[in-house]
Amino acid sequence: MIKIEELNSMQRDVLKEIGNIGAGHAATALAQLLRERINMTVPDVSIVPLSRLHEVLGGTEELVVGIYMKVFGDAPSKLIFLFNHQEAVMLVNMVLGTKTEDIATFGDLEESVLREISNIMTGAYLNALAVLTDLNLLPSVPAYACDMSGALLDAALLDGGVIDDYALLIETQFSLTNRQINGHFFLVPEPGALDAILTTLGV
Amino acid sequence: MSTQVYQVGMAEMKVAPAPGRLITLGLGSCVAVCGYDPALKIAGMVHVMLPTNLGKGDFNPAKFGDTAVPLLLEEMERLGAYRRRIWIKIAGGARMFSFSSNDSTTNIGLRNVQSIEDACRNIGITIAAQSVGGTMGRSVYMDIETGDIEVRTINQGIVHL
Repeated sequence: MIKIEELNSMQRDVLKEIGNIGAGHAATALAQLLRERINMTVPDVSIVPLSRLHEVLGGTEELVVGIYMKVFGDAPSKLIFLFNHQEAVMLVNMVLGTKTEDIATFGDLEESVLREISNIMTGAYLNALAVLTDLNLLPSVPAYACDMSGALLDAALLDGGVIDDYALLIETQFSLTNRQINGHFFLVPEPGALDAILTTLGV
Repeated sequence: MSTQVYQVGMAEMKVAPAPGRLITLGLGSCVAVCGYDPALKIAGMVHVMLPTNLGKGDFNPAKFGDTAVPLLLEEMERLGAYRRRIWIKIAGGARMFSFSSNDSTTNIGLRNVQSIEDACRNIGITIAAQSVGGTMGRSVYMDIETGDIEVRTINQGIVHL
């Protein structure tokens, strides 16, 4: 089995390209949903020792909304969306046409909007990946939480009960051109999934 | 004089004598295990990620509840702490995300706490205080001078252990 910390630069490039194609489709889906222009960064493939995972997020105590989905099928993985709490409020207001100011007043409807946005983006992301790799990929329903960014990331990474000493994160950032809304999107392949993805692409 | 701050990352352990602070930020299902010898003011903290090691040859004992507790005591003893005086307090082990199907076998936070309780029982140390479970993230700040542990959350305020 391929070890995360031993990936060569070619394999990393392939993962970056996969992230790029998947995120491109996800961004398009979001743009159509919101009828706004969306920018996205070139994905960052990072291989982080667990003890330094908190540095990836910048701060670990920031209040964020996290949406977490498991991916089943040929390449088991995890997908995690993180939105800063104020930006999550803006996103919900854009979709619902409301003027909510504080995330503390979020109810089922607002949570559901964020779940659904993540669901639509995930669908686009996985579909692009499935077409490219010919792998069968099925997302779970989205789970929602609003708390410290570090706590959400660790809970999602540890769900399932196994983790290597390194975490492989394929991260893309989205932003809306005309507004201050940024989202972080992480694809985290589980150890065996890496073999499936790289083998099917011949690297 | 600025106080020495030791930040404990995931699957890390730090032990230190006073003065100073041991901190770990943004715990979800992870658990911070804090040990303290009040007479000598020696403290230690481990950031446990998973309950038990599932038998890979070489591994980091600080990562797993069952191996982290004995490791913490050994490292504190190395600094001169006396085992029978050491108390242990724990924080973390929340369940941040839940899918509609409520399957307790996938609750890693709970299993982490149980593995730490078992490890303490095997060694013969009772857990003096704890702030565990629930659905909120926690940050833990331990003052080595006094042994005071402050557990901060976003929605549930601050508790001292």
